Amino acid sequence: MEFHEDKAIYLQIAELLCEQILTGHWPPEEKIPSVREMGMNLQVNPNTVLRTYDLLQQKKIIYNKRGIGFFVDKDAITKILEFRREDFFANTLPNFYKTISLLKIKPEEVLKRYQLYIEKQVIS
Amino acid sequence: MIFFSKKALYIWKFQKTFFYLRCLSALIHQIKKTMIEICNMSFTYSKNKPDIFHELNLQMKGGHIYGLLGKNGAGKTTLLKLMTGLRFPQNGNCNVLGMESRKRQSAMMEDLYFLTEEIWLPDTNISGYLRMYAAFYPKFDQEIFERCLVEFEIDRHNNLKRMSFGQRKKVAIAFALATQCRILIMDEPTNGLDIPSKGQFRKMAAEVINDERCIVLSTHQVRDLESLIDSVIILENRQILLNKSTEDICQQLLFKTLFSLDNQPGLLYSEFTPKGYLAVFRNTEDMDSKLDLEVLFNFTTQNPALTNELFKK
Amino acid sequence: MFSFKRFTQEFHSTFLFNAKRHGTFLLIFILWIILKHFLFFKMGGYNSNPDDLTVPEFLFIIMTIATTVDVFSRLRGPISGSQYLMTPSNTGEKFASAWLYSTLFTFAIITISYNLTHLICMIAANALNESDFPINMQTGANLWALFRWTLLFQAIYFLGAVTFRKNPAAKTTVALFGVIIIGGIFGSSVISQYIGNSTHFSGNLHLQNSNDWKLIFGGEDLPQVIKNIEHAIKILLHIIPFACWIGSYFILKNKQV
Repeated sequence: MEFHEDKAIYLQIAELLCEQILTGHWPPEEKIPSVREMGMNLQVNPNTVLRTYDLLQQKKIIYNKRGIGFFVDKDAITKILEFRREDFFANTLPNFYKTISLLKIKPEEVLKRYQLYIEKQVIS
Repeated sequence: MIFFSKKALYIWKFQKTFFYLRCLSALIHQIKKTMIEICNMSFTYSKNKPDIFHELNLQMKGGHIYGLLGKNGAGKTTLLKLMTGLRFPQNGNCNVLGMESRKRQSAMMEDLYFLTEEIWLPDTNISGYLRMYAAFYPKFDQEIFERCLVEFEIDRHNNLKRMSFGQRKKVAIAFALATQCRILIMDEPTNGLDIPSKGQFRKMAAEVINDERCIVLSTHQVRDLESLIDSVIILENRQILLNKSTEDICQQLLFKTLFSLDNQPGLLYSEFTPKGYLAVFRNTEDMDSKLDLEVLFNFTTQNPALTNELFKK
Repeated sequence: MFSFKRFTQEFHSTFLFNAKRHGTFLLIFILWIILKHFLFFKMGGYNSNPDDLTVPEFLFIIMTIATTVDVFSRLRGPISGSQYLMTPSNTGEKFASAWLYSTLFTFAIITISYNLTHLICMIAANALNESDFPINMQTGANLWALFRWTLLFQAIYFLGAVTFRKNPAAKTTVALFGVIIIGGIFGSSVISQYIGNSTHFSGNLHLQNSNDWKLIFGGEDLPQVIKNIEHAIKILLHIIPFACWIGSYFILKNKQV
């Protein structure tokens, strides 16, 4: 597993696991690999994976059944989208605003292109 | 509290004691076991030369994979030899699992495996090697050994002396993991391993680590082992400059890649690379970032006083 | 605590480690014995050379020295030394297995090999020549004396093997010669004070017979001083092995690589 610059590894792993859930690879109530198994698969210290699992538990994306393991929460997809939305507004949008003001792009231009994109999506 | 009978009083007292005992055991569980303890240790190779270590203090606990970093000649291998009892300190002591390492008691050595940087193996094949050494380790697991050999793609029937350096290293690593020793000390474990084997090694290390065990990896190849290391020890100039978990380090420091150093308050250190400036900041806003071990090493060794101030307990 | 299980494992490990090399030495030894027997009978056997088929005591000692020096061969390099010292057996067990291997075990193997080879050669010789030559197996007192001499050399080279990192055989031999030469110079200067008018010296270093001494000392019996020195040397020869072994143990215990 290759890690991107700058983002803490445990957060990158969280993103990866959320992706697995969103794409349906891990449906709700499905058992996910243990901390140790995940550590082995990703070649990462299990303590790091534990931090990820703790975070996801906190966000109620996964839950722990003592003695059995970790499972995907039934409302995981909703929670992940919520989590992602928070991240988008906190991090991605400000960077976007910075870029468009640097490049002197008007918001109307952005909106126009967005509408074109939506139309293309509807056609395909 | 009013007790209607002496019996009720005793029951209450028993329950109270039991409650305190449960709290205590929970607390003990939180405190991970100290597996290696070095106290005020000084060491030199000869009386005419200056000390390599001077009143060194170091503790290593179970459940961690330590990365021991230091420049060439800083004394990493010497420190490992002092830990394993191959060298004796002039002052102070080094205790492993509660036993003084210089005594080299078999109880200690059965639970401690030292994988040296260069591998020496006898003139025999793998079965012969096992016959010579496996029985010394009471927890030796043949299955783990075989599984590692398969993953490393080593042919059992080859003579050990005729194998390449990398292949001998793989056999030694397989043996080290199979002993199931609680303490694994490895000097440059990935040096000589081919690319797929480095991944195999990381996988195996991630598999075996638990609260009862401790792995110490001394290395220059930090990129190979960055994802495994959860505690960093930096050795420089006869002193331990840093001995903290990666979590603690990332609480104090922020690692960023920047295109310009203009207007960057709190900048502590930077390196210019093709990716941009690899910068280290004081983590004032409690943000998360990815710890870059090479940058951390350079920052720490060039700013020992600042490091000490940042990480004062 | 001394564990018999670990001791056995350490002995087993030492054996496996040295088996090939020492097996080769043994083979050479046996072939040499066979060659000696062959030459002896070619030269006319007992009829012309009644005393020549003697036990090669010198070879026994050489073989013992060769195995003793090898028993700590893993200490020669820092990497193999690290592995050897970190093997989970304590100093006592390592010492005991190395000692057992280079004394009783080696001596037993060499003795059995010699006697068996001698027996077979003599049976073959008798069969081929239709003769009835006597078979002289090693027995009792001679064997015991030989064993004690091998122990003396074993102990000295054992100490050398554990003390000297490189070329212990050569260094120990040099040290031994050094001690003997110094002892010899000292001894002869003491003895020369007592040498009488007769300067006849038979040239034989082993002055067992008091008649030889009488020839040197002008017909008189050994002076008490010489007798005391002789006695002291005998005691010393008994103490040296134990001193060497005890020294080896402590050197091994404090060995650093």
